[in-house]
Amino acid sequence: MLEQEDVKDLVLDLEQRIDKIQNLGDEELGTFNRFDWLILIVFAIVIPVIALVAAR
Amino acid sequence: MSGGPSGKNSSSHEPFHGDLLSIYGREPTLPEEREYKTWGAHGTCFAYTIATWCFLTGGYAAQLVGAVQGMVCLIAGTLIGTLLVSASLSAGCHRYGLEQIDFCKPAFGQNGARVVLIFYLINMLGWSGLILIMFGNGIVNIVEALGYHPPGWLVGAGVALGIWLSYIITTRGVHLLSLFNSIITPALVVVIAFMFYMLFNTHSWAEIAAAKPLDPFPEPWMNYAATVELGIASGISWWGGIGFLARNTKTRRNAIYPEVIHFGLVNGVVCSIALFSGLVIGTDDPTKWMVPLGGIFMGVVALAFVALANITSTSVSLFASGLALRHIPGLHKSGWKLIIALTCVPLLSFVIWPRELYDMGSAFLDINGTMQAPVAGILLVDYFFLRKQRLHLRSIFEAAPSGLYYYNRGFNFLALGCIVLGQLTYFLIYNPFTGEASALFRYLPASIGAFLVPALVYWVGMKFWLEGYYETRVAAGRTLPDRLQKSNI
Repeated sequence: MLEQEDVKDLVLDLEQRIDKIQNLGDEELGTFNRFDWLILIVFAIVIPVIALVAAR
Repeated sequence: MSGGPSGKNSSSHEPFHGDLLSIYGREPTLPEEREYKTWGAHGTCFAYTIATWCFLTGGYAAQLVGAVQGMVCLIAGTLIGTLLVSASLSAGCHRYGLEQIDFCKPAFGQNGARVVLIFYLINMLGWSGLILIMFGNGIVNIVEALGYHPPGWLVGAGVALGIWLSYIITTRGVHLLSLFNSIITPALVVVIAFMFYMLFNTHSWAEIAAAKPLDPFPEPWMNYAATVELGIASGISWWGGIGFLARNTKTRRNAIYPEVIHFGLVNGVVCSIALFSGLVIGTDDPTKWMVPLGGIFMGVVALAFVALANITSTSVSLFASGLALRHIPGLHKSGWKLIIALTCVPLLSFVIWPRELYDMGSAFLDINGTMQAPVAGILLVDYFFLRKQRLHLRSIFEAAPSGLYYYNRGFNFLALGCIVLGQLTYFLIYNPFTGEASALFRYLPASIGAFLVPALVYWVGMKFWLEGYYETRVAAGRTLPDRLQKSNI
């Protein structure tokens, strides 16, 4: 188990992480745009549904 | 935190290591702490995919449909199911470095997310148990292939061995898991390719395509619909591993593309190979396919590698389950080894009753659909349509009522009610226990109904209530505090 002192450090560390992560952007996390979503929806929804209807 | 790779414990009074708590606890992971770059993400997803659960799903499909229909149902179903569950989880858990039960808090509330935690643990530990039984079955079949007569207790002993190995790997950390995957994954590619080659070397496509399903329903449409449902439920079952992987990836694209490609497409393809094997060999037990297909030597080697891959998969499940257990009061700050040991306790039932629990695998897969589909629908609407991908991270870790996601005593009863509604919808469309289905099942998979109906009701309910909720709080002067009042970590 954590000691009381560790708990304080943990919460302090959590606060710092929250402040940092809340403001992250594309530079740190990379981009993901509408074109990515389009690819995924066509690849994983549209084509499979067409295949399922065709194979029925 | 005690445990972890450094073996730090409470008596050592060593300095606090926040980085370990982000990886072995619930603290959000910072970009620089995340392990998986492109190849790491693909390798881990692939290794997680190529486990006996694919063979299990393919075996179940072999009972219902032939090769062509089954292949379409499984690949299409797993792709659809995977995208539905991974869209919001991957995006949100990666963006905020969150463990996935924490990601559920904006929708379900601080305490309401624990209901999802129960589903989550059932999913993760149930799958782990099933593949550990197959690890045990694999050992039995290796022993048989070598000409010995294995005792009846060997399957249970194999499960126990698998639990121990998984415990060792999990408690050594993500790095060892990643290293383990980097060795096993290439070997598995060879094994699956070899299995595929031998399948088509010994059986023509015409023979495979003409093979009859093993135990179909009387109505052809019902077999088709049930197999689509099986595929979607198989994709949705990945709910348990998605957040864990996403929060450990470097970039947004690495958080979602590998999951859809491997959990969806590769999973469906491997399920199909399993389907073909089950159809031509005439049994749905995957551990009985390898030796007939590959001969004694290669069959034993293939079984051994698949068995090792099962240990990798179980380790990932245990890791994710361990993080999830930190939501339980009293376990927030417990040692990592203790947490992982606790996740192993339910698995002991698979040591004692391996055959009985293995026979319930098909029903378990369908139960996953009833549990995870409504949750996935609610999370999709909540993250993308209601909150526009913007969460208040501090409120996720705020146990005090001042947090934005506290709702009513920590529960968002609308979201929880929508889960029940989703489960009712599922059973109205298709009852997997009795095999009874409504006419709607012909056109609408039960998992999709259980995804759409609660998502729509939740969206309508929250669209009016959530905005009012914000306005009421702001009007009352309850602006959000810039520091945690009562941390829940």
